[in-house]
Amino acid sequence: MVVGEMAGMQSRATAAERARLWGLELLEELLPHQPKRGTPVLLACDDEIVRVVGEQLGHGGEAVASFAGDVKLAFHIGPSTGLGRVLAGPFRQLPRPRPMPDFFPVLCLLVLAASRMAPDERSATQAYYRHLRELLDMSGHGELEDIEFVPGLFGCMADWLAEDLDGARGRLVLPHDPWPRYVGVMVSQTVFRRRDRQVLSRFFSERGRAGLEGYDPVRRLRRWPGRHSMTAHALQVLHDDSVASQVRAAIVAAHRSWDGAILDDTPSGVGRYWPATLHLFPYPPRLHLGAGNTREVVFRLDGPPVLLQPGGEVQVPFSLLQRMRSGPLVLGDPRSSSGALRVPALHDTAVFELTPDGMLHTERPSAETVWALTCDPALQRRLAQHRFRESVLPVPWQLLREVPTAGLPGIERAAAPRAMGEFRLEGGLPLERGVYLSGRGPVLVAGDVDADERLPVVVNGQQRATIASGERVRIPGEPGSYLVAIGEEWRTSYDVERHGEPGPCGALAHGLSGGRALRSGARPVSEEDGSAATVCGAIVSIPYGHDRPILTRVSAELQTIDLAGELARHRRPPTPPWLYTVGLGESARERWEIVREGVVWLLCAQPGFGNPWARLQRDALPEWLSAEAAALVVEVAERGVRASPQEAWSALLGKALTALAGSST
Amino acid sequence: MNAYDLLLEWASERGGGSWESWKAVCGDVGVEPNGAARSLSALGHLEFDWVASRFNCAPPVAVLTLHSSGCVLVTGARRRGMRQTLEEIYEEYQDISVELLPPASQDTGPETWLVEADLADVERFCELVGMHFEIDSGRRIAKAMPRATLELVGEQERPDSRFPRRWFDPRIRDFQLERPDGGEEGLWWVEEYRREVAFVCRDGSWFRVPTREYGPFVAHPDVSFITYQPAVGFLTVNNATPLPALLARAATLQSGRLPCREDAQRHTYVNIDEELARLIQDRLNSPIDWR
Repeated sequence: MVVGEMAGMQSRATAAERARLWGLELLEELLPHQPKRGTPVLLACDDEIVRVVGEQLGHGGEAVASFAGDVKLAFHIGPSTGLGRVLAGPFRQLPRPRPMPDFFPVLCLLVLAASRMAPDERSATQAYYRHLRELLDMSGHGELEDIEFVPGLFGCMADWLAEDLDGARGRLVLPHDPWPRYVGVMVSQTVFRRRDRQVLSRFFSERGRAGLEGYDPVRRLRRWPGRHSMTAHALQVLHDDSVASQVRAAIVAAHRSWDGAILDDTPSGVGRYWPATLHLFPYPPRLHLGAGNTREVVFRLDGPPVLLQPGGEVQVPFSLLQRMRSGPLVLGDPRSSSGALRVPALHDTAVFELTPDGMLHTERPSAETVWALTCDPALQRRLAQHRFRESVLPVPWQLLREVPTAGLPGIERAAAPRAMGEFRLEGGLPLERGVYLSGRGPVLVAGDVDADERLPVVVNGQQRATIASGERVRIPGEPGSYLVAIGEEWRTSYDVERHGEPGPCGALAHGLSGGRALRSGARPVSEEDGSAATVCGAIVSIPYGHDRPILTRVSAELQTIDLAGELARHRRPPTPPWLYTVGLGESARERWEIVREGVVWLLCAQPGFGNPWARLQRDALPEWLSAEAAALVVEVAERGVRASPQEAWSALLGKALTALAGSST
Repeated sequence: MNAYDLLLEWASERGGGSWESWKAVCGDVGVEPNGAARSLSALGHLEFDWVASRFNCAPPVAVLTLHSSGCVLVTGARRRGMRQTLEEIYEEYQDISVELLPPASQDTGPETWLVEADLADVERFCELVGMHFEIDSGRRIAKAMPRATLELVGEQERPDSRFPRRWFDPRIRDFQLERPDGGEEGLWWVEEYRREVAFVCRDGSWFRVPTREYGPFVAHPDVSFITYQPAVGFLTVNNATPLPALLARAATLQSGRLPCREDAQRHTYVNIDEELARLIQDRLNSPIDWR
């Protein structure tokens, strides 16, 4: 594509309109609204950001050329006019608050040129102009006309951000005394050069996939082992505390435009690679390939082109195992705008670990057991009993299931995920946020602490312990208020109470009505459950609905006569053996229960001492008495029974005599 | 007072909370969260909503248990100081015929609190303490439950082929890596990451069994996984085929004791009378081996 050519929906707009569109999109990408007004920011425009914005505007793989062309045309930048038509005056005269400066895309272009400077070109003004001319497709060399007005344009931009927008999109950090005098302004906006973006893409892939929130990206990058591949310029500013806010802004800006791909060298330039992961499906055994690609990637295996959608997976043949054995496998064209997949080398044994998404290939599993694809004959012999589904894989590969990770040669087990934040409180008996129940204090946990020495843990002004990375210290759990401080870096407070303020009990219950009764556990109780059978703890919504058991301590045999006049005899059972097993056999006073429906009278015909006794259990008189019941009633009456109440007993005795008389006739 | 007592006290002082908070406190006091949840649920102290991943305390209850020397079992929420309150009321109201038995500890659960009392007095005692009073809750729970069938406990669904699974061999009452004949019929344990889920394949149709403890019983309705000794009231269950949560509660509430480990393969519930054993057999729809 030639400079100035337009693509897609841009083709119908004028260069000025297109430049304005570029500006609006770049503004959102480079200088988004900040959570905190006045946050230091840089105008860190580079190839990656222009590429991202170009995609949003419908440009293909030549977004940078299109951008440069549009800006060049819109602002009449040429060998003779230089930057003379890029004017700040009209903007300055507008009433505040003013719209985005129309020259903003020019500033982006000027910084883009600085980002392309090689590591050793930092102070080389000539090198800067070479990159700028290359971007603008302009012959010649040396500085452009009217470059001296550029620092003023940046100042104007900084003023707009600070005053018109009240710092909502941040505060543009500009050098007080730039060097080289003009070019230095653009260079100051570029913490990271093109080469650094490649290194940063690896850093983001390893440490920033879940985002940068909650961490200081500068401190994180300073500790990342791969940082030494960055340019000397970037390393120097990374470790310079005086420019930490600029570096932080640059990392955040770079992460914002990062699409998840890793930028790496190819023989024909920088390529874009999506780290791909193998996914093992056991039933039936098959392999899938997925990557975090944010756009479609097309590649070929042995047949027609294969399309991997963003977030999708494709099945790949097991025959691919042999190709992945010796080295990483690249699928697709890394130099294309969509990039290529890169599958890490599997070597002789590939390990798969169970994750929420299924079994994924990993080089450092954290689980105790894993599945393994192996062509190692020694391992296959040793773990023959773990072999899964014969004859599914091509020779010499075998699939082994649930292999102890420790038994796999050359596989290093990852430690459990470490605390990511520096310090936090864990454990204890939390009642609510920052409030604990007394009896067991919380634990202070140190994550990845950036300190060479042990740090003092100060609680309410007194040092209680010291702590270092990965350590845990239990802090007070007695009632009171506590302020915990670790140096100047971190502090928190918490309270410990003797009691909580509990929410309502009984908010969950098992519903036993309906078709789902046996498919679900407890559920929130609703008013609609009022008529349904529910169980909450030991409370059953259905009433007991029977006569209550009769509890007694009498050791002699007892008798009961029910509403139907039938007699039942009840002997005291032996002490339940389980009471002895839990040590309560001696403590229990050995009550026992009589469970019988409709009992009217409880009698003891042969007490251990004294006369027989009889006790009315319900105010009723049996219509009829069985011969056995009648005989017992008469017998205990003759032996001077102590009955209560006497009137009811007399009525029962009358019934008994009548029954006996009837039976004798 | 052991870690489970502390856990119950903490849960009672909160009233309820998230599964995450439960796991965190279990981790801190040194107990396994799933096992602790099963124990405290079986004892009637807590309820767990596995869909919303939350727990909530059941109200404090005194349950009259049969064959227990006329004891009521104190369960449900157990706030800090509750034991002291029971003792103070016991001391203050001399006219109430109740006897607080000493707390009985257990290895994998909180102390068992039993109160021996006359029925008339125990209700007044409960009123003074602020507890509900229930009679023979365990048996009533079992009676209120429907009988398990595959249609009632399962929902038609195929297992996710992404996850490993193992087959339950009813002959050895344990799980195998594969079904020997390569078929699919029977009970499968699917490792859906952090939780194993029961699937039953019957006549080629797959069913997910959300309350996975029902899996062995509905997959093999002709096999006995439980033995019962009526003479001593022991109900012995295979570890691989534990009772579903509510039936476990029905059995546990007979004594307030969690099942004790019989050997490496089995655990035993105590104080189970014949009627309850038959009820459990009926509700599981699975034969019990009567010894």
